[in-house]
Amino acid sequence: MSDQGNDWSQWGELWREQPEVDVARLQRTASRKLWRMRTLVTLEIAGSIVACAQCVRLAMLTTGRWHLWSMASLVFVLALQWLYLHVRRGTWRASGDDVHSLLKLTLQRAAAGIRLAKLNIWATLAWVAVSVVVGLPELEPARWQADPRLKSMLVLQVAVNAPLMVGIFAFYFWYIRRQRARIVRIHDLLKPDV
Amino acid sequence: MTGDAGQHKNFNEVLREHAGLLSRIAASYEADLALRDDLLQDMALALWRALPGWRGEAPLRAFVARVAHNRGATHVVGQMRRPTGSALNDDWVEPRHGPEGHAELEERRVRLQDAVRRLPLSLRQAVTLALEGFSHAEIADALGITTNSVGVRLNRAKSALKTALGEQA
Repeated sequence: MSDQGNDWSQWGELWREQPEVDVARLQRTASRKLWRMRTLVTLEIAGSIVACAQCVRLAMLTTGRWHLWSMASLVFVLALQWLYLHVRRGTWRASGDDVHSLLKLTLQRAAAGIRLAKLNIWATLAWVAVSVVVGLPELEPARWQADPRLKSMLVLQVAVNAPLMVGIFAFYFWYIRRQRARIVRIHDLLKPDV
Repeated sequence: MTGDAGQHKNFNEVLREHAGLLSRIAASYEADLALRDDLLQDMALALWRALPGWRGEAPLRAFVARVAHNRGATHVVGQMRRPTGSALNDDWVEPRHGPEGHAELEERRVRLQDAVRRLPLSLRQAVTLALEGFSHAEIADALGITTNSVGVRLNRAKSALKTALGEQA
């Protein structure tokens, strides 16, 4: 055997000498992870259904500008869910393609993810602005000060939506930064060595 | 094997047969033991998801290696802030051989593992497959490159490994 072959053969033997894997434990932990992923997806789908149902319910109960707002909100919720699915798709997919193709695909997804995140930032801002404009009559101080029910509803809306918006924007900015860093990293990995 | 080979092959059976391969590939991507364990689980999950797509056109072992490398590459992209290798230390020498006579072997093995992990990704992938005994054609198929490129990568990797292991190049 040549020196070249000897090196690989010796290294190969040494390499394959690595410790045995506890397969039963691996099966258990992988199974737990799988169930956790399934549970999260189920919860997300349930959340989306509830959000959509709320929009449909509002659309049925309201008329005029609030009816239009409910319909627009339904479209917005669906678009948001699509983005989340798009973002997660990479973690669910198990590719049997070659590594180079996978990295290129990951690159395309990262770029698409940034575009979608930016789109959603603007869509969210537009949705908030439209909601404020639609709700202007109810936001008149004279109106809500005279109506305790309206007042408590507005307080509830601000208490729930303000932190939610902050959280959503923080997520988008984090996501965009992360994807940009990923793109740089993937470009490095894709540099031809040979 | 039939056209739907992957569907008929029991996942647990495949995992049992290839756990060592997956573990070694995971070790070539991650030095930290806890993260390596996580990566190994992710590779197992990726395999579970990919297995129904295996049609038996490539050997199962090559298919498993390819899925594992894909997950490993994703892991590298995701672990951008962390170095890919670490200095040799006692913390990540997994206890295996008790007798002192095996200590040297263990140290050589860990040094090899560390040296492989420090290689650029493209060389590392070719090397891990070569160390697993894959032919140049199988490596080329798994990585989507030509057999000539495999030869060139392995030559370059060999020099780098010899230097890292302190052997004469």
